[in-house]
Amino acid sequence: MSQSTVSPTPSAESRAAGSEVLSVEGLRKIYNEGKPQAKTAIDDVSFSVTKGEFVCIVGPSGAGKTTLLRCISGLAKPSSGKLAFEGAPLTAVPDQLGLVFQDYGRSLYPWFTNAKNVGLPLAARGVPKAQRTRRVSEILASVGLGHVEKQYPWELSGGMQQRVAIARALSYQPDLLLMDEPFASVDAQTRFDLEDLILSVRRDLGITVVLVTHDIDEAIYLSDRIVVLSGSPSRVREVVDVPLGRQREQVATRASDEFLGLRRHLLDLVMPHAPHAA
Amino acid sequence: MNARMSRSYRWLAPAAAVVAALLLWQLVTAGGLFRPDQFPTMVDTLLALGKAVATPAYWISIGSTVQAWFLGMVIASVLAITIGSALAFNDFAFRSAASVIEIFKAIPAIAILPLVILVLGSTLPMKVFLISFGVFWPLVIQVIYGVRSMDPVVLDTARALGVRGVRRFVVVTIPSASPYIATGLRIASASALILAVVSELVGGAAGIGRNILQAQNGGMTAYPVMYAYLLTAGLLGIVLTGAFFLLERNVMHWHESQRNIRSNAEGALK
Ligand SMILES: Nc1ncnc2c1ncn2[C@@H]1O[C@H](COP(=O)(O)OP(=O)(O)OP(=O)(O)O)[C@@H](O)[C@H]1O
Ligand SMILES: [Mg+2]
Repeated sequence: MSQSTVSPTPSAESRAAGSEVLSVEGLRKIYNEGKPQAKTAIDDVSFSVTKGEFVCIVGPSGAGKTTLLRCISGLAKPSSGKLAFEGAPLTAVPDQLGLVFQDYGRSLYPWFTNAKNVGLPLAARGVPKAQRTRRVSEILASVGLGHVEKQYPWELSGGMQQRVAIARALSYQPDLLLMDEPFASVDAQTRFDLEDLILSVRRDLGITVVLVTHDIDEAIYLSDRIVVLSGSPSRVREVVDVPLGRQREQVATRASDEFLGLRRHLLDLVMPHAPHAA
Repeated sequence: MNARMSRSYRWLAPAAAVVAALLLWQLVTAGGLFRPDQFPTMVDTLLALGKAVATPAYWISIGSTVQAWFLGMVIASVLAITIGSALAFNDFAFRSAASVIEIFKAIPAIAILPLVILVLGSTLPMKVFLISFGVFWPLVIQVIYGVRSMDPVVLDTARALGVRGVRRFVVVTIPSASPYIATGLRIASASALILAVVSELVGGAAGIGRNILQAQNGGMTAYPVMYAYLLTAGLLGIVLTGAFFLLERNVMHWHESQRNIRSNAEGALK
């Protein structure tokens, strides 16, 4: 399974092939620019994501992770820097982008049933009703939810709501899935389940994923590469390759030597004042 | 207490209050505290009401009042929702229009009644215009606040999902502002009825209000009839309020406030 030799990762190969889904260059974001209350949320961030890759962005709370995601999804305008999605400059939210918000409680529409929530982006893309209904049931089943179509999001548990939000983002088969701390507010067991769900979705659909988290273990478990951000205003501290292979398993992977080695390295990065670093 | 019993008790208190008020009315009028030309007895009034209910004229007058109420509400709502949303989305337009709206809101709709009668006469359009005018300003303010207080995550979600234009307006903006709009409509409904009756009473257009005036001009013997129509206006108000209550409970069933009402009611029944 996972090789101990540091061979070029699949992502490194495809990076060479040049199929870049997302590229971020010198991104800077200042809120209330030019006003006395101006606040630099992102100082200077550059990285790129290639097709099929799973990239995690880690950083402490308030580092500007949500801001970064809003910029790279086209929801917020950067103050400076270059952003490109599938080679084209990013100006608005691309049609081929799926987004899962940090706060699913506010992002799922309470006035719609789960089916209507999930079907909304399909309706916006002109998918006919019958086809939409079929697709909604399919995608809900694929995130492990059966027969919640007629229920409302607020009738479901937090973990189930997050699954609905994921189903909604996947319903229109986006090329890139962006997720903002999607598992931050669910219990540990649900969290493991959802992590494995995302990994299997990614395997089945061959989708590219960028996921923001403040949990280092989660980042290592999920990703091919980790972009480590500094505290506010954020800069890229280091981009760490995660050569753990495609197959991951909650207990075994997390107990492996490679995992623990990466964990130690990342902890050093995010805690610069750890004893042996001094 | 079991659920069945508390259900029947719920109706007992308001019903008793109505009966008590009617008895008090009979007491003070029959007891000679008021003369019949000031305030007819409850029994005379209810008899007059009973007689009126049997005539087509009674129902035609209610029909005219409700028709004006309905048309005025529809016109004011459509205008308030479209104009209010447009203003709410544009900061410059909002700041420019805010003071104008406040001024118009401060003008009592009754104050323009003479002008409206002069231009449109004692007609249905006169009533509808007066109602729409009176109800539009407070309603448009509710719409603007509702749209402006939209959760940014709700808007971001719509943009991220590629929901745009008219669809976004209908399935995202309106539902998200609907708690404010519902409150605005509920208040508007009450003032629309008042304006309808006043325009009939003062402006002479057909409806409950004109029948009140005619009964008053009919001299002392017609006083119970006048009070019967007053009672009718009150009952109509209750019916419209009740209809809005039910509508809100159904359309807004997803909203937190309605969910809380439901779960509190469940708790109370235990
Ligand atoms: N709309 C805004 N206007 C002004 N400042 C903002 C705005 N949104 C965020 N900020 C500021 O930018 C900084 C980064 O915020 P952001 O939400 O991106 O952090 P985060 O890394 O996602 O935090 P968390 O881990 O708590 O979600 C914070 O200091 C925040 O106060
Ligand atoms: Mg955040």
